[in-house]
Amino acid sequence: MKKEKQKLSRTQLKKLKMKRKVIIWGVIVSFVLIMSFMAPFFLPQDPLETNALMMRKPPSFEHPLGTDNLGRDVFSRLLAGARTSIFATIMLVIFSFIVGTTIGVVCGYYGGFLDDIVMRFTDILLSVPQLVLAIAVAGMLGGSLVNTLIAIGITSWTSYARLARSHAMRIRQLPFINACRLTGTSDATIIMSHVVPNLVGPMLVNATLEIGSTMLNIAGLSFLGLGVAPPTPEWGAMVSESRNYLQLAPWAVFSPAIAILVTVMLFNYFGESVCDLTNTKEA
Amino acid sequence: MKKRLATLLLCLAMVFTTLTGCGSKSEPAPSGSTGDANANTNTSTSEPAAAPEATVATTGGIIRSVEGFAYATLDPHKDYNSWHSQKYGLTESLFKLGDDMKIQPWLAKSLEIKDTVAVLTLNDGVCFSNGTPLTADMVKRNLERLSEVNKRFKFYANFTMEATDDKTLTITMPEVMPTLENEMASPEACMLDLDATTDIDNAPISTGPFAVDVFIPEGDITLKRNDNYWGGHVNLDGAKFFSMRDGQSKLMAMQNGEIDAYDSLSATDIEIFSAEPDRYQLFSVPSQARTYMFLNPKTVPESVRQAVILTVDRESISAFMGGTVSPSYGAYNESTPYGKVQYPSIDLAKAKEIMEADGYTLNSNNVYEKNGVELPTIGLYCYAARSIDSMAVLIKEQLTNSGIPAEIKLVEDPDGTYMTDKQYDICFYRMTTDKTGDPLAFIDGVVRSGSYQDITGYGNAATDAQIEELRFTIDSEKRAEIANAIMQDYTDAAVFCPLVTYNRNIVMSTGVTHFAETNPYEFYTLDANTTAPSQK
Repeated sequence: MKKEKQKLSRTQLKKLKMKRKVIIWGVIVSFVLIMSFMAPFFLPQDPLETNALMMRKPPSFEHPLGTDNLGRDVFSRLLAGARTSIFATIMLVIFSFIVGTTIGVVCGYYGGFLDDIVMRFTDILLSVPQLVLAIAVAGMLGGSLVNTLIAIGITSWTSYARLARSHAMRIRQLPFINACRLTGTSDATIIMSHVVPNLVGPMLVNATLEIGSTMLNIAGLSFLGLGVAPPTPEWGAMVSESRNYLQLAPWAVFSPAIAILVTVMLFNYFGESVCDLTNTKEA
Repeated sequence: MKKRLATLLLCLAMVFTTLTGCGSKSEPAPSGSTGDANANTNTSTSEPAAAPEATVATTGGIIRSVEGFAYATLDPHKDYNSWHSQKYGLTESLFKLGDDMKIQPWLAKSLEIKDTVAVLTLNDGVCFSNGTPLTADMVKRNLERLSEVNKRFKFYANFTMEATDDKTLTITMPEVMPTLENEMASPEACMLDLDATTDIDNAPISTGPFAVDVFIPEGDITLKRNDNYWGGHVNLDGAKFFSMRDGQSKLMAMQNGEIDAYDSLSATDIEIFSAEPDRYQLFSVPSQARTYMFLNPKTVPESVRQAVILTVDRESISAFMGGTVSPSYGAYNESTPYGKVQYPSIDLAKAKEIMEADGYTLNSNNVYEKNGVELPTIGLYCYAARSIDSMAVLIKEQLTNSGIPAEIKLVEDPDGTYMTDKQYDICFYRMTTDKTGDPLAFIDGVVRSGSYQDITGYGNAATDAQIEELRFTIDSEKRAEIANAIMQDYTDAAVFCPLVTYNRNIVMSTGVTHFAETNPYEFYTLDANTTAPSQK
């Protein structure tokens, strides 16, 4: 009896620790999100304004992260670029989440011919490296943020669809779903009231884990010149523009590079902590 | 949790350490010091910096450089391949263009033109790398082949050519062609031993100081000395050109000694190399390559086009480009008799006056509007090469500040997009505008109706008639007069706006000489006198 009590308290303690982690990382991530959305209102300087007299100046009080090849303030561009980079990432993840989950749930719940067709199509998309396909699509559509999101979005929903399908297939076999059917509840109601709420947890965990890789994909396409059109500040594009004068102004390369690194790590840590908490709960 | 925080901090510490390392690697030259960078830059009129005693140039050795373009074949008659083969000292044209852009004898000694008959006389002792002498008949066969495989030179097919003797070729033309000598100074007018060459794509036998050793299509090329060179002793044992397109790779290859010289330097490269004058020689020569804008009369009203031209600040663009370009106010050099048309320089007051005269007023957003409707955003179509995208960024800012909204539309390949589908508002293009020392080639390729670059739809019957007159006019003064008249009308139509003239910037390790560092044309590089740095 005493041992069982101790075991219970140890599990509770672990869960409590997990919750605390989620809250801490959640607060940090929320702070980053709020800052990125608010940043354009607090820009110290115009991120687009060029100045021939201030080209490639090292960090100073006036320019905390120095200036780039056209004399633009790197700090201001970094803040302005945060909105572009993070906002685009969040939008894409939300889109992929909704589309992928919807397709996955429908396929998983109904199965049959529709499921076969959609899943084989998903297999085809998953068999091509995501970034390579995105480069091809972005290359055809031309360089712009919207086209970049389309290029990545074409494949990014597939992982959500796969996951949602497997959960939906499992849930539809459960007794309470059969009970619902026997009572004459419609499929739409069953899906919305019973299936989706039971799979939304793992789907959210997947979404938080995908934020980091999505951000890297967007930055990667921008680095290759397939993202935002200049002079719009975006972190990947900033790294690409400034790498040509790396030896003279390393700050112009490292500032956006570090911003990408830190932001991706933060989102990954947040995703992992949510994942850990979910696993603990399931255990 | 603590572990992850520690990992995050460790990563940050590593990045900052790297950053610090990069920052202290070399003391950068003062920023924004365009003048400083140029101060260490030799020009075509100055002598190269004296090489230190430890690295005195010697005969022999191999010079290593880079090639920024990828091409599948060395056949110099096709496309623009001869620009590369001539650069390598593999091929030579009948005439050449000197540092003063004037035509000089090369394989040919002279070309005498009387009405429709031209007599070409070859230089003494010219032979191929296999020792076979170059004959007038071989010249005829080469020109015929050139007309077959290169549409830019199909006019040779209309000529009747006859080899009078081994050294003399008599050419009868259907009409007077005053630019024949200029055309023969094009790199494409090079000679191959068509009988002995068995693999024209990979190992053409030609007359230059070097011969092909190993050629990898779209890759590196290794050259060996032509021991039978007709022009005398060749200093180098050979040369190697690495295929390298990325500017950073070229810079670092030069810094770590993998290559000995290269051209097309960026402003950053110039600043870095000028900080070490004991290791590097820098040369800067105004070239004939220009970037210009086309303004689409179908989508941009005339008043707006005129305002755009008057708003562009070329001096400012040039300052940003740090010695790699000079402001351009015409399609040709001002020093030439046919370069007397001056394009308007920046005049914001006049630009505003023109806009207001057409009914535009600046609204509270600092954007021009007419009848309550804001001026639509103008698309600046450009591509990311030779700093053209940076120029577009600067022009966008200049236009936006003046009330003309603009946005950049970046494409990968201008020839596959706006130059062919003509879907643009304002677009950028780069070209060597005067590659033969005569105005016809540019006018014929840009202004004539139906020509490749007549993407503005400017071409008209009256201008075409003027161009035909130019084509057949022999007197150079009259030619200049016609060319200036054509370009003046083109200027007045506000569809064309020259921006910058590129400088041909070259860096060479100390000890390297005769790398065509004083010639404005990028298709000259190696010759028999080129030397490599001495072996240490």
